[in-house]
Amino acid sequence: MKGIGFKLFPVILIGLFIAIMTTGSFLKKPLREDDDVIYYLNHVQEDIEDEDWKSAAEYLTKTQKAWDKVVQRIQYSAERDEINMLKTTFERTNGFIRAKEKAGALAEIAEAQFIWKELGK
Amino acid sequence: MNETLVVIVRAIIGFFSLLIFTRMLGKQQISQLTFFDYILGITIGSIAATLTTDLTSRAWPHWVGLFAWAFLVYIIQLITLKWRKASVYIAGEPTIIIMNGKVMEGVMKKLRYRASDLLEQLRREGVFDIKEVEYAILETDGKFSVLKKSQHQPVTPNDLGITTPYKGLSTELIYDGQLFKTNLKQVDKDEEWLKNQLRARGFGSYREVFLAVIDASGNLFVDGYDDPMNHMTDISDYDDLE
Repeated sequence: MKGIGFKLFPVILIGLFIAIMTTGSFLKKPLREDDDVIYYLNHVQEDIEDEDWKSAAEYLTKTQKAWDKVVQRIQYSAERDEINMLKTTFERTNGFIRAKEKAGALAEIAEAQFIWKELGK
Repeated sequence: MNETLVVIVRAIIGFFSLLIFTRMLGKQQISQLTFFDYILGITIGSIAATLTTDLTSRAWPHWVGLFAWAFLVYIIQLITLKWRKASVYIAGEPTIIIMNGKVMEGVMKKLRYRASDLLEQLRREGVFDIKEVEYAILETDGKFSVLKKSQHQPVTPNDLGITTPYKGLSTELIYDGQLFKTNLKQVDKDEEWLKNQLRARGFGSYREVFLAVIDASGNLFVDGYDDPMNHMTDISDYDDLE
C-alpha cells in the first residue's frame, strides 16, 4: 500500500516551488543590519539633497553591497531585467555623485526606488 | 545574479511540476493521444521550457500558466468522463471507414482521408489485401482497428478444440539481487523453497541473481549476473566498416 507520504510528497514539493517563486517581495526585506537596501538608498537621497557628496558616495557603496546580498535571495523570484536595471541605476547614480550633479542623481535615485518597490511583485 | 544557478533551480521547478501534473492527469495522456491531447502536450511542454530559460520574466506567471493548462485538461477529462455527449463533442467518435467489406467514400471525403492513407493504415495492421477486411474503424486517436472477414482470421486453439493450460501473470521474486518478500508470499512460497530452487540452479545467494520470475503454473525463471556462454553472437558490424 502506498503511504500518506507518497501522496503528501508532491503537495509539499509544489508548496516549496510556489514559495521559491513568490517570496521575492518578502525576501527583499532586510534580514540583517547590513542588507537594508531601501534604508541606505533613502540615506543617499537625503545626502544628495543636502549636497553631502562624500556621505552620498559612502552610502551608495553600502547600498550596492547590501544589494549584492539581497540579490542572492530574490534571484529565483525576480526578473533578470529588473535586477540588472537596479544595478545599472546604482552605477549611474555613482557617476552623478562624482560629477556632483544633484538633478541627475535624484532622478536616478527615484528610478531605483521605483524598481525596488516593484521588485518581486 | 547567478544565471546558471537560477536556470538550474527553474529547471528543477519546471521538471517536477510537469511530472506531478502529468501524473495527476493519468495515463490517458500517453496511451490515447487524440490530436487535441497532442497539441495540449506540446503547449504545456512549451510553457515549461519558457519557465526554465526565459529569465526576462519571473517564473511565477509561467508556472501559473502551466498549472492552468494542466487544470483545464483535468476539467475536460472529468467532463468527458461524466458526460458522454461532451466526450463525443470534444474527443470525437470512432468512424467506420469500411463496412461489410465496402469502403465508405463519403465518410472518407468528410474526414479528408485518402485511399492511400487507408491502404497504408491497413498495411500497418498486417492487411495487404483490402478484400480481407470486413470492418475498418478509424479511432479517435487516429489509429485503425481492423476486423478481418471470418475466413481470413487466424485459427485459434479454440477453433481446433484444443485445451490450453492457464497462463496468468508472472510475478517477480528477485530483481537486482533483492528479494521481494511480499511477492513470494503472494505466490504461496517461502524463502526456503526459493533458496532450494536457486541452489539447484547453481546460485549461492540472492545477490548472484539478476532476475527471478515465477509464472502462474509455478515455473521459475532465473537469470544470474554471470552468463557463461561458449559462443557469443555479435550483431554489430562496426569493426568491418571502413
